[in-house]
Amino acid sequence: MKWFRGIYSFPYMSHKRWWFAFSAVVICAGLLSMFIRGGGNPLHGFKFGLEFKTGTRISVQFDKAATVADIRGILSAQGIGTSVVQQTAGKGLGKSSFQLQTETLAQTRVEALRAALDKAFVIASSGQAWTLQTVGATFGKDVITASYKAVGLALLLILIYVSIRFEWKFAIGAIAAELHDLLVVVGVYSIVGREVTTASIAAVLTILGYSLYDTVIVFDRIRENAPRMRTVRYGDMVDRSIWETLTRSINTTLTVLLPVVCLLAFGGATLKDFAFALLVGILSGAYSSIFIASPVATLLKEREPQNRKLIAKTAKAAKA
Amino acid sequence: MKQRTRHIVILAVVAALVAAAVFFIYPPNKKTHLGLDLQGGLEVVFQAKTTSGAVPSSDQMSQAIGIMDRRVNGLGVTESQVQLQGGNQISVALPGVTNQQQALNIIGKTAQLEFYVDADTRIAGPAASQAEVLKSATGLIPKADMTKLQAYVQALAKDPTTALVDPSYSLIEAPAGIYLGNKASVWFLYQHKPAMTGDAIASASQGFQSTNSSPDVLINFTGPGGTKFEAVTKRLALAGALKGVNQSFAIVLDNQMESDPVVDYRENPQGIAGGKAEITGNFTVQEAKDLALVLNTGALPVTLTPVEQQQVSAILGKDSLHAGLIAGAIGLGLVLIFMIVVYRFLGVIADLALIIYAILLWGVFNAVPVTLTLPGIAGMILTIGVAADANVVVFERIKEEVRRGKSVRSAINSGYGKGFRTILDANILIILTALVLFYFATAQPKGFALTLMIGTVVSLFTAVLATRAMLGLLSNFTFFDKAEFMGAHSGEVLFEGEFDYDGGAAVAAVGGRRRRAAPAGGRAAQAQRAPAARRQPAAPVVQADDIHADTDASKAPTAPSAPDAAPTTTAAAARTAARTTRSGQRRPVQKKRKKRR
Repeated sequence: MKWFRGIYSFPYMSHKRWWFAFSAVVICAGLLSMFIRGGGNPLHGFKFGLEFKTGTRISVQFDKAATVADIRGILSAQGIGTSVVQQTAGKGLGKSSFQLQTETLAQTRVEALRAALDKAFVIASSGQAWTLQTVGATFGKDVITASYKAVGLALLLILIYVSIRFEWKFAIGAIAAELHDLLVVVGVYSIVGREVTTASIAAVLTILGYSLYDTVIVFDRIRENAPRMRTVRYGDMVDRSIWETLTRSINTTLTVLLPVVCLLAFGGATLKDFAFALLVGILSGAYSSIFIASPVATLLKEREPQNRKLIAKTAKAAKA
Repeated sequence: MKQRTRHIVILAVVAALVAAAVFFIYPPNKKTHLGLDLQGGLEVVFQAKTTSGAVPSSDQMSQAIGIMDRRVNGLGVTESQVQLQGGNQISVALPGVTNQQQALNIIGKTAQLEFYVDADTRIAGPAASQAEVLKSATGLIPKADMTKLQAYVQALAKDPTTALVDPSYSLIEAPAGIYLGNKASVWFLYQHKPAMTGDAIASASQGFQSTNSSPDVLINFTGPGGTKFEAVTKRLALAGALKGVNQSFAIVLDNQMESDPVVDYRENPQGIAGGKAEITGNFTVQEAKDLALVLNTGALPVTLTPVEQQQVSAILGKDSLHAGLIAGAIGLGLVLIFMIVVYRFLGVIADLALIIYAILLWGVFNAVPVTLTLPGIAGMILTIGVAADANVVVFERIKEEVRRGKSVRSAINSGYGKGFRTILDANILIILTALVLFYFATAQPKGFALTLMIGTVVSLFTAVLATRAMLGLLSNFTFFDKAEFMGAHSGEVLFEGEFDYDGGAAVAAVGGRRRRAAPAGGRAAQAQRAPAARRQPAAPVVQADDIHADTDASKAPTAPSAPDAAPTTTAAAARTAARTTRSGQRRPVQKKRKKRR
């Protein structure tokens, strides 16, 4: 347990370069994966869900047993050529359930297909087990453009708020942490190859707000400690602020992680999408509050003349 | 005492709110609004264009939404939602709707009703296809127009949403059975000069034909509409009398012929008066009802094409709800346990507040009412964590103050005072980003953002105000004034010089970079020692509730003999000890000296 106690006395600010390097490695790995998977365009380096592709997706559950070949037969009889048919199994899905992904089908063709499938294999529970999703060409683009705008505006608001409540140098630290979290989440999505859905995008946007929780805790303590520790090097004061708030940073992260992990374990598909993005974002946010936000703010503050003097003085004292 | 009264008032308000929330919650299956992803249903996003293919104005959009809302209500769907989305899209959510075809037909129909006098405006037709109609119109219209129309028909084959750009023509389809008993649908080319439009209609209803009692649609014209209809039919009757053949007119809805009746010049030589008419098509009762509904709600100022459509089965919805509730319950349970393990009695208070939070949040959802969706559940579960966070921040503050030597009561006061600022800043940032998300997001993530906002605000109330009042009242009891009770230990030190800002400052200054390099004496030496504050043997149980308390216990066998074990007490440590004693605590801090490295 000795090493564990060590986290309460570790000089974090003296190792800034290591933290930056570590984050840079993680982020670069993510960017690299985006580049490779996207075939040169990093924005394509993800596995996008159906919401981002044009087409129709149908989930259906039958009372009678059917095979993929049976379904394909019906599809081609309906003149639906390009399609993916998958047999799906899962809790509450029954034995004979399928997911079909086809070109965009007009309403009349959907109805005809549904009638044909019902006639052949009887759609379960008098037609209740039928889920359909049709997505147009512009939808995915719209979502992506909207999220760029949302990220931009959110970062701007955070910059303004933190500047008002603390000072702009802290705001820069907070924004750096935000960008770090964003890049880490995006990179992890590309590396892991998890499907990107509108749910995961919403979760990523929320992380922008929540991941600052720990940062605010540390900044708040720095704000409190700064006036009464004027004789100390800025970085040492920040270190001390981190030690003092470390327990609560860890505990706030844990209290949020507990429900999120439950979502990941027990929630349905949509909830899992949310939970995964939240999980990565929260972990990254907890890390960045200490290893990105605080060091960046410290770097900026240490350039101030009185802090420079203090650093020089301490160095001299150490030599002597 | 004044403070006490305030606490009692706050708790009374909390109790009243909980009672109100329970009233809104019970019975749960009737009062909670479930989104269509949880109860099954249909959601469609329509792309709007004006009839000429341009981007519609915001006036046109809000007009369209109003009309669609009325149509949806006419369908009898409860808790439906019609919303503007991203400027020129309209999203319609119809929970519980399973007949997708019917719903789509009614909601998205432009319902532009037009009456054409066939003799005046029909250029060509009937023909089996659009292309053939155009072929038969060769020579009847200018060549330039023909080229444009042909291009349009070709584009239409690729993209069915293409709009006809030339407003002077209408390509009209007559489905099977509409035009002189045709077996397959036939096409006509009309000049776009309708004799009358849907504005002339005051109301419509489904009825039955008197002759063969098949369903039809009865129309009541407005005053001027009736006059106009009379004039048009009179002209047709006169022309019929002149030629000796009954003249026909076409009733066209959204470029589709509903019926092509004739005016019998012998029966109605003066036209059809009385402001009433029937549309006799090839209707089923349902189709006639739907048409009447569409006509009643008026024509949309835009044309709509479904671009995104989602139909969720009721079974899947139920499964998702079930999974979400289980995940939420387990998550809440784990957080409750965590708080008690770490914060002991304070944790019990926080747990009480969390349970109150869950009840209030659910109550607010039902009272507003907010429709609960899957993303909404995710938001709710996340806010459980956020609500607990507020308590963590405050409790850590309180523990810190207690360790610093304050009495429990004053620690609670200053803990809340100082902690609140942090919580407020953090929560405002969450609300800000949720607002941004709410503003930009499409329907689904919107629910997430909304829950997050409501939850964060409610949690400020329960986790800060309510726990503050509870602790404030309890702190009047003497049993409460024991630090161990809440997992804190007076005089315990997290790291060397924690509360000693002057001495600690110097330690930190040297201790920073040069910790290992300088085994100097005095204050610097302090940095070399392991954090060494010791609990008194009087501490009743070894508590595993705090990270450092744990370590303490494991290497504290010599602690009981503390006074002797600390032969040298540095100036800084002495100062710490003195300060602790001064602020009214029982035990001075003891430092145990360890071997130098």
